[in-house]
Amino acid sequence: MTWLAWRQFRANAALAALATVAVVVVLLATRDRIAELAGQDLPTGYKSLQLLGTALIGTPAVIGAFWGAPLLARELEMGTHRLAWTQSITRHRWLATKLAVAGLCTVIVTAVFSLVFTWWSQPLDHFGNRIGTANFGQRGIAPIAYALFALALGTLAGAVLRRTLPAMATTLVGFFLVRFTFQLVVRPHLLAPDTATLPNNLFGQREGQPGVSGGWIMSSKTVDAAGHALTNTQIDQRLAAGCDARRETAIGELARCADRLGIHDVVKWHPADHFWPLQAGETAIFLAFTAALAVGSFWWIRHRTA
Amino acid sequence: MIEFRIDPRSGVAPYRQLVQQVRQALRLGLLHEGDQLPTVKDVVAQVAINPNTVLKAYRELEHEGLVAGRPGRGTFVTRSLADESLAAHQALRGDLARWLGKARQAGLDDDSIAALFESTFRATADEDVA
Amino acid sequence: MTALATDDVGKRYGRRWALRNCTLEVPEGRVVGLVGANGAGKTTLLHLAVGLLEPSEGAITVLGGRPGAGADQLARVGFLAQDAPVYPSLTVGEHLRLGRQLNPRWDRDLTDGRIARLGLDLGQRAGKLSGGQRSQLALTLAMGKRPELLVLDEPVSSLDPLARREFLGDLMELVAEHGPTVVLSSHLLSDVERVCDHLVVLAQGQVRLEGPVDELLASHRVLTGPRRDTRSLPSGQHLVQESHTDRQTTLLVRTTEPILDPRWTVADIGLEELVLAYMSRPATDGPAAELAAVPS
Repeated sequence: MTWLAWRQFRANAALAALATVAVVVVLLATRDRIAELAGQDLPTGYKSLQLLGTALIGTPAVIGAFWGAPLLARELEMGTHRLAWTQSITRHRWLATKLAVAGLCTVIVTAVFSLVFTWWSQPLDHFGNRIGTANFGQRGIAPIAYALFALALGTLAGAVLRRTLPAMATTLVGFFLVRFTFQLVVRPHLLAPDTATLPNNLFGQREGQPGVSGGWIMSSKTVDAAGHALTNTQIDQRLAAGCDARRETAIGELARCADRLGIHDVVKWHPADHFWPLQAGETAIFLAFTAALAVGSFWWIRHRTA
Repeated sequence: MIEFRIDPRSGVAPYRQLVQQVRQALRLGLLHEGDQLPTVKDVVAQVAINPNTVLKAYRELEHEGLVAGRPGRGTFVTRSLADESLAAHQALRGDLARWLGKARQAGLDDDSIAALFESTFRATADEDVA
Repeated sequence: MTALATDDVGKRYGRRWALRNCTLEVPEGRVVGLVGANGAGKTTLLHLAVGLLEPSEGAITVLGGRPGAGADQLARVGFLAQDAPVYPSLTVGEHLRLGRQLNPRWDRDLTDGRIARLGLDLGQRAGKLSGGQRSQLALTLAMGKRPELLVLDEPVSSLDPLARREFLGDLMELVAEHGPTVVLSSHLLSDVERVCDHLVVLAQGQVRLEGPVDELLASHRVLTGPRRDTRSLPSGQHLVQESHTDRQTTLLVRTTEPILDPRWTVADIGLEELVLAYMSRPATDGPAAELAAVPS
């Protein structure tokens, strides 16, 4: 069965190898350029990082749609399951082998992508952050879990829908739904965010200074000395009331006045060293989803199809 | 070696057709004593009929004493029919001719004669079975 | 031993019963013809027999075991599904390898010899084979594991007459040499008549007739005679079908005794007419086995 599973997966594996080589070559070729840019033109360099990161978001989805969805849907669609399930192995062993082959390739491809992407973005890491949503999901171990989840989702969709194209569409939609809902709603709370007290930045005077850089900001409020949140209108009022508008007109003087009044920022954030705990939590949860979906596929082909 | 054909529309059971073809071949001298009949496997591969049909035909031929099966070797002809057809059937042929004459005198036409023969043949065959 | 036995087995899809109250027993060593119109339940019954489906009610036993229940049971039954599904991108040779690797008991000489004799190119992709060649490949795969029971779902329905003849000839050769029990479904009665010695007729999900072919033919008679009331039939004769004109009555009866009433003209019935007669009887709600099974 191992031979058959590999033989059926052959084209997929070849394509994946090709794609991996292409991505690696491109990244290798541009790495030095990125390092240069990082020294001179930060925004451009950072844009490239974000662009590539965004492209790699699609990798698990593509794996789910092109490797997972056809795994069962294709067999059911063409009727070849009637050939496969009447040989001398059980359906469970058959599916387990196919999933193992696809799963192994999934892990290898996403691991390579994650490693290469991490290495490639190192020059920019000093300035950007890897924990922010643009890059978090394409580095570390989370992408592997996403891809396995997409694979399992595609497989179950294929079993239930029995047609490859609808299963592919369902997998793409379903994957992105879960992935981004999780990022939006669950990830922030996987770990309790830190609270930082920072001087205010009302006039942009603190730009470029270390503070919460390299971290992932959840929320940022400007508050008064007692800790009450201030709207822009209220800030203007306080400044008007507490600062001598005639004498302190320069930006620097107004800023020092604001400081004197006790106006400061309170930021809820995940500092950079939360990266690995968050990765671990998200990976564990997605792997749990994967297991559940895989069990679902095994159950479905045993009890629901012919 | 003899080659068999089955006519599905002849109204004759397939195994009987095989028997008849063997007997015909014997009568015409196409099969001699000692000749081997095709194996069951070869017959069914060529004619696409159930092996039991062939077995039944060969058993019937063996029952009639025309062939004998040698285990592991095949089925072989033990007797020819060339000389039998005339002598043994001469008396019956005569009886039949006389009966036909009587039937025609009674006014039966060809179809009536055939129908009468069929139904009597059937009735006596059933009696044998029952 | 019984090759296939069902006990009141039924299969339901939603509210529709594809098969119901199906009770039959097929002795081993037979070539069984499963006959019926499209939608009569043939494929359903066959899929139940090879474990692709589970019954909604009743029980089915194949070679003494439960269909599809584990590798051992699967190894004893060979299946050729309708339209002979194969993997289009795998070559003929790779299909043979599939069979070899997925079946512990594989007769390599048999399959390789057969493929060579058929003249199939081992390197040819299965998707490029003709219909007849695909069926032959699929048959080779089904028989390669030397099954005790070989199940074929309409194996020749889409083949031209020559391919059909060759397929059936090869199948019969396999039966003659290795003797598996064969169950094949067909809606072509001429084929069934040639190769099958046991018959099961399905209509609307129910068994209408079942038994050895020669006994079925020997035990049915067509009676033609002057118009009369059929309630006066002797007790040994069971009425299967009747039709009347103003002057004439034609009956199909099942009986093992000779017809002695001289008013009847008695004739044999062909298999096709017999099957049609049973198929056109109205469906019964309860077990149709009462008249269906011919005592042997």
